[in-house]
Amino acid sequence: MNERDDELEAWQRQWRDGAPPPRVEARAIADDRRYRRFAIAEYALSALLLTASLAYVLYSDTIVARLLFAGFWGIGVPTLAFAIWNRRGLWRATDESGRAFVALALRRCRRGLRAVHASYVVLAAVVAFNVATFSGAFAAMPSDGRDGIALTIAVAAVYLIVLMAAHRRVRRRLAAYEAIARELDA
Amino acid sequence: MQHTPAPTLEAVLAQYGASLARVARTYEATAAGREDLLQDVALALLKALPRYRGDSALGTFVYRVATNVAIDRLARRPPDALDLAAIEDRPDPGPTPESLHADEHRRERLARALRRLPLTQRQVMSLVLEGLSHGQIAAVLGLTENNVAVRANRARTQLRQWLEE
Repeated sequence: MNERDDELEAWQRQWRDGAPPPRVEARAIADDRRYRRFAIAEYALSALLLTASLAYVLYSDTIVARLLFAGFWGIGVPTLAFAIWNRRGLWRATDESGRAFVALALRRCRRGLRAVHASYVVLAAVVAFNVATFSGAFAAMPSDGRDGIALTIAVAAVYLIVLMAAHRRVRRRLAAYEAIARELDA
Repeated sequence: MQHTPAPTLEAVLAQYGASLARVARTYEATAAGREDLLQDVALALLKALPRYRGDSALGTFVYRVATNVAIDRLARRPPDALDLAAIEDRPDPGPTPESLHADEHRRERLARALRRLPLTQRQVMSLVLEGLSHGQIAAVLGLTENNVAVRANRARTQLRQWLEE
């Protein structure tokens, strides 16, 4: 045995004689259950809202129902389709090798960035649609829709702030993963 | 083809918990940070273990999950956390060596030195200290064995220098 092996063994001994690890399994199992319940509630609520909106649109013949129908097919469905398409191949693979995981994380960040860009477009489309509707451009709504326009702009402004924060976060994470990938390749 | 039944989280943590806690120490300076990281690793293992089919050694699978979760946490931190050039000069928020017993003092010095290493050298060295072979480390990190050997060598030289200071 040479000096270098002795040195490594000494480090390994020092390193391993530590305190017992904290017990984390109970909290992990509880967290997992909470996430699952939250996901189920989220899906159930989305399904309920979608069903209720469709029922309203199909069984009432008002202008609002027709506009909702147009909004649903013109903006909602394409947005949902894009979200599903954009997530293809991005399953969570924490059991992949480090290099494969970083490559996947980079793809996730780039797709996330694309989703944020698409959200700006959808937000602009929704605002344009609502402003046109409330200002009577379709000659179907009462022309005095100033409250509706004000509400649309207020909600859009809040959403825009949230979207910009998400944009910054995704860009930062992308830069971090690019740095890690460079180090892996070095 | 017959697959190995997936082990439970409890069984995996009973076998690898201490080792994972030590690996966590190379990423997180504070006890709270380490516990959070271990918690995240346990949660990721809970989700990943049903996919374990025995294609690789259980240890390789577990260390992959742990190092990937640690990387993911690093990527979510503020940008300067990954500024590897600046790490050496940054104060480490861990306990001061003076407040620790002699054994713990030596362990903390080693942990501090490990945390100062560039990320991939740190990953390699933390697994070397756990007794993994270069082949096993290569499988965990997705590097070649040669690459692992080079990084382990660089890390050891650097650690020696820091520990002798």
